[in-house]
Amino acid sequence: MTQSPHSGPNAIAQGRTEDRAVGAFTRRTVLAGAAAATAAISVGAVDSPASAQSRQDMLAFVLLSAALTGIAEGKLAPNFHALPSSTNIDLEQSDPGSDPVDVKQEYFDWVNKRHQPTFRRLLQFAKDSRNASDRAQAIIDKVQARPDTKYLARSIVLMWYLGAWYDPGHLQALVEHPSAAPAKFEVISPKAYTQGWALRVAQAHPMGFSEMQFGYWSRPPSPRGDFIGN
Amino acid sequence: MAAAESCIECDVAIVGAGFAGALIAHELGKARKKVVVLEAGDGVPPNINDYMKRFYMATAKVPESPYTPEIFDADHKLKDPSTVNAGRPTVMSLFPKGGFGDWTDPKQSYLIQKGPRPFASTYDRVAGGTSHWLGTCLRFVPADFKMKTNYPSVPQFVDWPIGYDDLNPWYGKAEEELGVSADVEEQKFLGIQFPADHRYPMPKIPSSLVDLAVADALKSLSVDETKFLEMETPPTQIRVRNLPAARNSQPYRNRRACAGNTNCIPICPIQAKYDPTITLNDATSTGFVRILDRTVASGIVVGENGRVSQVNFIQYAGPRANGCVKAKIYVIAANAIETPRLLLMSKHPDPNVKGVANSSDMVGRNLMDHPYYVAWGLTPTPVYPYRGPLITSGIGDLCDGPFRNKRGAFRIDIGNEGWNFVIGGDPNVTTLDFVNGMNRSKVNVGQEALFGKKLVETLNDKFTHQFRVGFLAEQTPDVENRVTLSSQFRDGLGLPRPEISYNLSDYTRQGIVAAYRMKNLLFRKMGVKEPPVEIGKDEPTRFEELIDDKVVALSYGGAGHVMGTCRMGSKKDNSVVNSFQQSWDHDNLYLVGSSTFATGATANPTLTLAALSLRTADKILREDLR
Repeated sequence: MTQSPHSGPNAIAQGRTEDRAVGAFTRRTVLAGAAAATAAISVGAVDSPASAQSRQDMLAFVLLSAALTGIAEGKLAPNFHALPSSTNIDLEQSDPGSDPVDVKQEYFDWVNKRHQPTFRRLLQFAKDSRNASDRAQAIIDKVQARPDTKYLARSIVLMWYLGAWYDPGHLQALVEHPSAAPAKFEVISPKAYTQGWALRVAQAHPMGFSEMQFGYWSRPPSPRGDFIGN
Repeated sequence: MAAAESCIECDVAIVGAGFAGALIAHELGKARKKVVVLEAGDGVPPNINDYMKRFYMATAKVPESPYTPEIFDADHKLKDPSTVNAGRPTVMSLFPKGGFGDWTDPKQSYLIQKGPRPFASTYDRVAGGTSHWLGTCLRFVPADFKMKTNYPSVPQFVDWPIGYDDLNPWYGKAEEELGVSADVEEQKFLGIQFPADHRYPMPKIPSSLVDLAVADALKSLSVDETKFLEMETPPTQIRVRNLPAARNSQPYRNRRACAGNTNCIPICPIQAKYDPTITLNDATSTGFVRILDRTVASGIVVGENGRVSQVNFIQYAGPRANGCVKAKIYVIAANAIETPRLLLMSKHPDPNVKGVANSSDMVGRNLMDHPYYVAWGLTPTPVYPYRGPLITSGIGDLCDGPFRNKRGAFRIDIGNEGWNFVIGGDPNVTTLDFVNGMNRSKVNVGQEALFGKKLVETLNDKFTHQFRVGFLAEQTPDVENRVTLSSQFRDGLGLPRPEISYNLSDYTRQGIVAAYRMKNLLFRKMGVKEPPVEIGKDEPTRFEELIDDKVVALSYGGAGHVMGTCRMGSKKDNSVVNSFQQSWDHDNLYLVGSSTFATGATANPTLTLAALSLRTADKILREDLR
């Protein structure tokens, strides 16, 4: 990535941007081909003052995404740390995590650019629910209450699962006006495709992106928890 | 037309840089013969990054998706093939009439499909278009070469002019060149034999858990259950065998072992699977082989002595330019659609002969595929698909028997990719269903829309139980299944596009009916539950058969096995080439590839066409270029 997404004037992550330092040359980034360039473009396009993202916003996005997808925070955002504890989260202390792939930033920017008001509402649900006894259910209950938050939440789940964007308006139309026409979507980026969770939920890997070794398929997979943390 | 003196000169001119063309170019280059290869499509890129990016970004990850030319235009519509220099068919243009991908619409389909049924296989234009193959390297069974002798009641069958024993050593050489992983003892069935001490280059690829579930279900059967197969004796066990595959089970020739990316088609991201670009690189490294890409052969010129005197071509890399190549020997290695197209586009000095090499009127006829019948369902216990190569095992033991007097054979392959392609693109379809409360997968009957833990548990349950099986049906060579030239529709270079007439004979359809019964047996033994899938009345590949007093709707896909349009034989009047794939009419012209197959068998054609190609290269070196 060629620029920090925290470069907006209202960003409050001063002193912590090194957490997001990218550049590790992993098999994933090599395979993702032009992913870095693609991601840089999407980041650059959205980082205006109006959409400034705080560190707290990213924390909320990770909490929201984990609740909706059923996949652990630390899997969606490697090195995510809830402090002082997972049931008593201080947004100032906690760490949204850093990893060289960092697809969460790409996703945050993608949604923020397209549906900012509703997205802000979703992030607020996560902030408000952060210390609920059943945080995931509390977030889900709030999200389900209104069509705009419900369908954007579904788009966000599909984004994490498939690395693809299904517009919330289209999802609503598919439900309210059923037809046989194929669902419309776009793949967000090569990186997003390779980071899709749907087949990791299936204890496998995105097709065309195995991080396993020769012969693994002749043995039963590791338990589901090893893949998704839940 | 370029003046004769400006023609490129060489020993051997090859049209097409796929398996056959690459293998022959390499053999000749090693023998220090000067070779020029004309490739219609783009050149071989220095690495596969662009292919991978195109694959990742494709919403429809179909076999053609990583390659060029682009299938879609900027408006996400199928590109009009009349604007494409070297067009190619796509599975996206096999949809019902009247809408997106209308199979009969020449503005959407490169092939001009005259029916009555669609020809459902596709090919590409990079390195011959077979980069998107699966890697399966089965030998034919001996009976496949002698179908007329063995099954005289089927009028369409002919014998090949060679038999299994003639090809046996060439199969071995092809396996070495492609790098095949398999176990010799396991591959001895239905009369397949190997030379003493023969070994495959690499150990076999291990079975998947899906394979083991199938093998377990078929290990104990009653005679009553299998008598419908009409084998010599009804089997009481049906063996699942690992498929020989040109896929590395250990490092081989500077390529690494398979990592189970589950993506052999459309593209192996680590090139653990052989493709012809590997041999093309070896060929050019000899220093004697030159490849001209974006160079489309437009005519074969025959001199008064009946020998080919030059091949004309059009280059479109920059400003369009005409050119020609002169050689001692000419090898046409396009494919079973593009080779007859070129022969038919070329002018014979005798106006009574339509095209070159066609005194028998057999050029373009007997087009074959392995019509592919697929079925899917959910297993009672997890089989963990989406892991390992797309296919690791199959059932070949049912490919020959007395039933072949009455119906086509079939070979079974076992999918490791769940419902990926059978329901229009999983994991997307099922995931969308359970996130958005829909039921396109037919397994979200309550149309639940889930979040969180419930979503994870439900999707894990559905995906890990997905099972898919496929049946490759033997197709008869039928003279009316043919490639001709369209009089009306042209490509971007102004050359006539291929027009296809295609149907399934009763013999072929009865093979699919037997496959349907086999599916019922397999699913019953495994406890697989099928979702309620209906084949739309407007589906172009749909057909109905009366099975056990019930009308059953069936359909087929393409296997990508394009065969038969320049058949080999032992007589000039009913075949196009001899056993060396040498034209009966023009003795310095060879037509190579699966177009020369006299009958189609059930094995994937690649290994056999590779063996035939090496045999042809040897003949050219031994006799023609001494």
